[in-house]
Amino acid sequence: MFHYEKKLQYPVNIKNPNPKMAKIIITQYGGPDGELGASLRYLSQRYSMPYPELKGLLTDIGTEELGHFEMIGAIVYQLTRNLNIDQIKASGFDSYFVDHTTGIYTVAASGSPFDAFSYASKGDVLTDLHEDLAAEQKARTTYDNILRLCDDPDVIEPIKFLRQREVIHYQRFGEGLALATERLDARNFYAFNPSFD
Amino acid sequence: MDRKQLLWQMGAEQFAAFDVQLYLDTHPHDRSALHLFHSYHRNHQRYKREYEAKFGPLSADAAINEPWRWVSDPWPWEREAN
Repeated sequence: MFHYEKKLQYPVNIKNPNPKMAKIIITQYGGPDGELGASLRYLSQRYSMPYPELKGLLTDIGTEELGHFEMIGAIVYQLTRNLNIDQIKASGFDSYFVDHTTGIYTVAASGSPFDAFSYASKGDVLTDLHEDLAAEQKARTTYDNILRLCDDPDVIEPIKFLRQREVIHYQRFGEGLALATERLDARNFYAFNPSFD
Repeated sequence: MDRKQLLWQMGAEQFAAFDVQLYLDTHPHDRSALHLFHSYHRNHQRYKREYEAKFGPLSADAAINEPWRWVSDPWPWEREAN
């Protein structure tokens, strides 16, 4: 079960609204390498994981990703406060505004809604862990791109925190892959060993 | 400490404990990491008790006093909370 704690994992306090930036950063809310997909990936994959360390790791990282989903929601929310219609038109936020006003919705920066095809839960320990390693690097690249497009220190600080978490998760999943590989059949040196049979 | 300073201190200890927790998931027999986890966890609990006594509940089950302060603003996504 899950409990809610009434705080963010890392503070978000943005003085200046910036709808153009909001439209970019929302991609980590509902985009292909975003925090929602990350959480669903890990919390779904854990059921078929054969080893206790990996069940724990996927549970804990999947839970942390929900907190990151909330931080991205907070960033987009604070970037879109107190806007007037001229700012909405001039920033290009109008194409989002027409469908959602300033409500927070799971879409990619391109406008396509969250798609569960952006993650996999394959029921195989090696397949899933490689998916997880790739996912952390894709999310890290997306945060690098956001940092390239962003010049507001109030936004940069929490984005840098989130980027760093991708690096840590990649490290932990690498250790998880090493643990799993050690437990494979030693004769299976091409490291294919389906969990199913 | 004012509310924001206390929130930051509590969050720092909580985050450190959680980061060690992830490490322990893949290194469950590392005793020095386990000691580190306990130390961060204790500090987090101490700050959390202080924070909740002064500024209201962080979880609904800590909202035992009248009036029902669980719903009080600010909520975490609002600037005022951070």
